Amino acid sequence: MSETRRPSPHRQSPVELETVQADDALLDALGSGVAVPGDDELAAMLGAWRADLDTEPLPALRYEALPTPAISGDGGWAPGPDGETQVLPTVDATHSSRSRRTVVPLRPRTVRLAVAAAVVIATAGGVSVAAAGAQPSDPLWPVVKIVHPGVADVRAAQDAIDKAREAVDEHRYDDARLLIDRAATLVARVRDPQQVQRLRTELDQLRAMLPASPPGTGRPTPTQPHGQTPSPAPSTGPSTAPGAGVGSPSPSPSSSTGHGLLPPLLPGLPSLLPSILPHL
Amino acid sequence: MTAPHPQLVERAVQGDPQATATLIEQIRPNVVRYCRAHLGRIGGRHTTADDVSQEVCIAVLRSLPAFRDQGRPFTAFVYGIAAHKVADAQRAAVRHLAVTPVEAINDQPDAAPGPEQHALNTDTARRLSELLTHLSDLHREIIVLRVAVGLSAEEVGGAVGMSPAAVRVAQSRALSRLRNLAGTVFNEVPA
Repeated sequence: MSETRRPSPHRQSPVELETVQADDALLDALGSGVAVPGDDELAAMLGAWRADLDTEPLPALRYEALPTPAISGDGGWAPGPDGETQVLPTVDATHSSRSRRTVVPLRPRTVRLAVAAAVVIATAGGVSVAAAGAQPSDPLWPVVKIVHPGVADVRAAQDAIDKAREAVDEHRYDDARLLIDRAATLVARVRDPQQVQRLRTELDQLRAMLPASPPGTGRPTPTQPHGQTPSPAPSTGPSTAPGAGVGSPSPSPSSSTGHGLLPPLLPGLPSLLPSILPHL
Repeated sequence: MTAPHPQLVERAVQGDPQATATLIEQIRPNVVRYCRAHLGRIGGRHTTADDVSQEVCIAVLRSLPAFRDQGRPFTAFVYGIAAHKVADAQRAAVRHLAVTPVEAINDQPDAAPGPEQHALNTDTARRLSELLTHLSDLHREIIVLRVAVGLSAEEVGGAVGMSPAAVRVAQSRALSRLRNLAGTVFNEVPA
């Protein structure tokens, strides 16, 4: 038709420049979501198609959702043969335990420790994470867990240790033992050797502050009088030896007290970190 | 679609949680449309496509720390991931359909909001979806990225590994093919 025919580098027949330009403009308009005037039937179809994509509301983003089983949700798809175990009910153990027992408010000291930990992470961890990064109690924590699982592991462990220390300070030793076990599990997930060393040292110090008596069967009295506290036994922790306990991440000991206090630990993490935790 | 600001991407890559959350919220509507465009409705709903879009967003989040190393535009990074996830889902769907009766695929349009116009749009949209299946993979991807997502020809070029000029030629060919295909079915479509 027109004289502006170009030799095309492609094997198919050349396309008119005018057509290319008109089509480009049409696609720009369609892509911006505006209605395209005119009687171009294909343009109308493309416009209707594009509009149809927006008819259902935007689904909520679920940070905790896991890759494989997400497909099987309500779409009626068959899950993968080994996908079942990844469907984990609880979203975030840290959140749920906090909301269930609102005993432990965030103290200024805890905040300082957390900020200090974040700074340590930012400098030592090799990842330049903003010092104001989220903590486990933060609404943005799920984002951190996904984007920087290594950082999240350290913070989660630190958070558990802080809570254990508070329990020790308040002489809630049953709670403290559970929290220490949980922290040990979390520490076992940390990759950075320096962080592991530091966190284990903190854990050992906490264990040394526990009374020597074996874990009593369920006396969850949060406000024990001070007179009841035995002198801190310097030898070893009652349930687990300081050195060995850290290396054994099995969460089973916590069930012995029947507290129901601690749900499965950060259920979103295992499947996100298959290389760290080959079986969970 | 306006691409996310490079500074926002940079802050997110560095681990700023707020920037990361903002970034993902910016790209999410487009990712959702991308997945819906490719996967369509099942049982009259986009549930499956939305699940896949969820996976894409999570995968983008997890891959963010590695983004800079790849030296690609951010949109290319996102839709590279999205293309893989959609392909995975399509393979899974084929496997599933191979062993399951097709009754799950129900073409009833959703009658909820503004029933008539909505049904008409859905019907037209479904016809176009059908036409798209007759395009080559590359042409279909270009149309989806240009129309459903709203990327520019330049951005599409980054995503599919072509020059913008080559994208423009290819998209014209794709439209031409669609017009030819549509011509064979337009007779039955009320204008």
